[in-house]
Amino acid sequence: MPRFQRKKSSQKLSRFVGLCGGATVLALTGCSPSTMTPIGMTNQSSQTVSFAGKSFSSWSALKDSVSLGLKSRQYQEKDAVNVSHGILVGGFTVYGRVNPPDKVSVAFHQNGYNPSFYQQGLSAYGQITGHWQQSPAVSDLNVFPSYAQFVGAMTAHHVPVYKLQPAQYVVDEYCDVYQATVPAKLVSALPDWASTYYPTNMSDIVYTFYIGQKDGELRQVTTSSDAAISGVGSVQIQSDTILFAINQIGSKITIDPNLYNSLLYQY
Amino acid sequence: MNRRARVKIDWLPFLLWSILVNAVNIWIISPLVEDYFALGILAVFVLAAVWFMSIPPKWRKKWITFTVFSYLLGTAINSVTFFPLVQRVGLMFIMSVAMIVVVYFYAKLRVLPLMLSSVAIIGCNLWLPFQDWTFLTHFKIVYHGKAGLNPMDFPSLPMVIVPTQGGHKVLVTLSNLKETKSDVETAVAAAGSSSDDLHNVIQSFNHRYQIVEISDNNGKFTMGPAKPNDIARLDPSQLFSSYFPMSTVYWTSQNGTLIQYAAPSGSPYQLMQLANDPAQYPSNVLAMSEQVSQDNQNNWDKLLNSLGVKPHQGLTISNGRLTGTWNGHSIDVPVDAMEVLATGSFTGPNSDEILLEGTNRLEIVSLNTGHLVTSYVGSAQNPLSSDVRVGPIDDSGQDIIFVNGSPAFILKASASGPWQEIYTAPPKSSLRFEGSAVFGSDKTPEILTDDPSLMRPTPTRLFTSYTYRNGQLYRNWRVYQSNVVNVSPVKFSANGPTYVVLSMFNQGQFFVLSRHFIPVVPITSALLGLSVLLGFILRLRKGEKRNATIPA
Repeated sequence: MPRFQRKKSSQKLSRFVGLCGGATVLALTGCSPSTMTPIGMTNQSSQTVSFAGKSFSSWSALKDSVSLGLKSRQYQEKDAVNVSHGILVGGFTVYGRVNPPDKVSVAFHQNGYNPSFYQQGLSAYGQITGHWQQSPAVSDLNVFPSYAQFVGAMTAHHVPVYKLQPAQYVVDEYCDVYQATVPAKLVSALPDWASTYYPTNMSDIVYTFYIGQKDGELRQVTTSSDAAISGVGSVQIQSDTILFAINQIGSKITIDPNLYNSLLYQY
Repeated sequence: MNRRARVKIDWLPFLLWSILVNAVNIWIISPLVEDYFALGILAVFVLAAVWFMSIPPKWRKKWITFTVFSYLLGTAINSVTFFPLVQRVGLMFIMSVAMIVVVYFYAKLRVLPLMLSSVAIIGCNLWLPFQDWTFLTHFKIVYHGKAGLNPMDFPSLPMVIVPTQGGHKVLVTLSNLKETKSDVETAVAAAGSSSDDLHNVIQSFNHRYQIVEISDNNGKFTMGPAKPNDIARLDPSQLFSSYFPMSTVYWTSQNGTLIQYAAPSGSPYQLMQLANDPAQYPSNVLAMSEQVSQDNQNNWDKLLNSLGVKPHQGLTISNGRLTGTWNGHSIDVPVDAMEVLATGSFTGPNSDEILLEGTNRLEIVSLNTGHLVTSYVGSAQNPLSSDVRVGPIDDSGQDIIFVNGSPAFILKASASGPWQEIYTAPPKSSLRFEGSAVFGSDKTPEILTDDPSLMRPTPTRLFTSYTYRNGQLYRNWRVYQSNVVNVSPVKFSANGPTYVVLSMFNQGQFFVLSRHFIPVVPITSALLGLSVLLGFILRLRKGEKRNATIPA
């Protein structure tokens, strides 16, 4: 048999390996990382956590957790607020430490800006564009009075609250979940923002509370509501507040280093 | 043989092949993997193996190296699309030279075909970046808009369709102003007199946008500064909703240029007040948002005043009444809704109506009689979002309502009786309707959507077209682009063709597309098939020649 008709088996094997390798390389060209769904644009509406069971309950668990919270000396807060209109989502986030009654060090994020706020006693400073300026002081720095007032209004108006199953894991512990649908008129009284404008077109709001099973602390609160804003149209407003590191040493506030540097080199 | 007279063009197959390689990658290989995932990879594997075997063994190393070179160079050139011009040219040059050098020494390919192929690939990319070639399978790019966008400001360019006089429409969008220090001086001099104006102007340096309009002159599109008479017909929320509600938007006019910029709505103190009262977030955030909307409207009115035009927005809702003029006569109807969505024929053909939305509620008002025709209340489980599109799904002349809820669904309105939900997307589906349109006469309407891959388990949504038949959606085609947003089918003139305008997420580019029916993918597959066939024929002929020369 002429030699050029007889291929050595090792040559055949290496050719086959080359073939497979080449084909695999070409096939994998399609496997590029896919672009993620745009952040800030979504068509998801309210929370997508689904609960299996729902039973009638009372406000006492929340009342107790708020009383416990009012006694805390320091904690951290992480909030996210979203206002969705069509496919667009606007809003802001909050992350910071609170030492009631008059110390707070908080960072925000909104639309490409990262504002901060620092207060101790009656000295308050804030920055949006990196330049710290003196600011009016906020009185009674503590989220729990807000929830205490809320629970008071709910019990006074006998708003039904339900316990949902199963328990959910929040940050570092399992929590009992309570949910209530609150009529808009009970929360639309005297907003802090601008007294000229009152929320006029708002649906009932679904409040969901997560109370720790270990110690009965209030760990998370979410709200979900629809509203209509003149000139803009229908919006969905959602908020999510998480409270953590309650009474832990890491929640003790020290001065924001950026503020310190900014004040130090002013002269 | 007269050698000098014969011009050697043996670089031509290389050049054509380098372009075909990239086309096959964009139009055949990537879609197979995107849609069919593991099966797609298998199919590509088989395809590659067949192609591999079709190459005569003597030429394999050179031809495969050249193929890989073309593909890698195409990908590399495409990756610098959005770099600034000088950097882009420099990088393209360096990459091409480096790859040519490597390939020359590895496979001993001649430099001329490599150079000409590089030039061809760079040329193709300059004409249209490879990442946008995915549109070419079904659309002709009539206008490729490059408007500039700073993604820190908002995620994509708004595509606002504004009706002008004579039944024409123009496309209005924003374009990032590249400002120098002297431009800032001009802006500062023109800043208003209230206490925050100077601060707002300076802190938005390089985050300022010009309002531009794209108009159609007999099929040729041009982009220029927006005209005051046209923007008077604009709904300003379409320009400010990307910032809403955490930034307040301001407008000013400088030397005929209409400029938009934004400043944070609240001070750190006001944000802290919100964060300190979290139980009241629903009402506080709503009140703040209403204030911001009011401020934005006032700023817009100030701009129109300074230009000497009056707002001319067609039909709007204020104080619970739908007012405005339509077709000559004036409309004044009390309504529950807060927002105008679209006009169309919702309860039957030729029934000029307007669709309005309130809190979890849709209303249809007849523009002829001025009365409410019918309304629909959304369910608590799947409430109506404000992301609603309209368009035809058949040739009955009736417009259908597409609601992008979770999941999305299609509503058919009825003047007498309940509205029918004629299609609901599967429960966990992230299908999103963008609208529907008829492209070309005698064609069924195509429903444009963003829909995830057939088999790949990612939330990425691809630009897809469906036809509705008997309660189901049947796919027409898919353009393998995942960054498509703000899609609108639009007729720029009453008797003109239907175009599709869309912008790209996180990119300062947008497109005006016109649908074509050329079978691009079949043609490309045929070309690939031909080259494989040619390869096999060459191998067979060589084999025969070899067999023929063997002494018996």
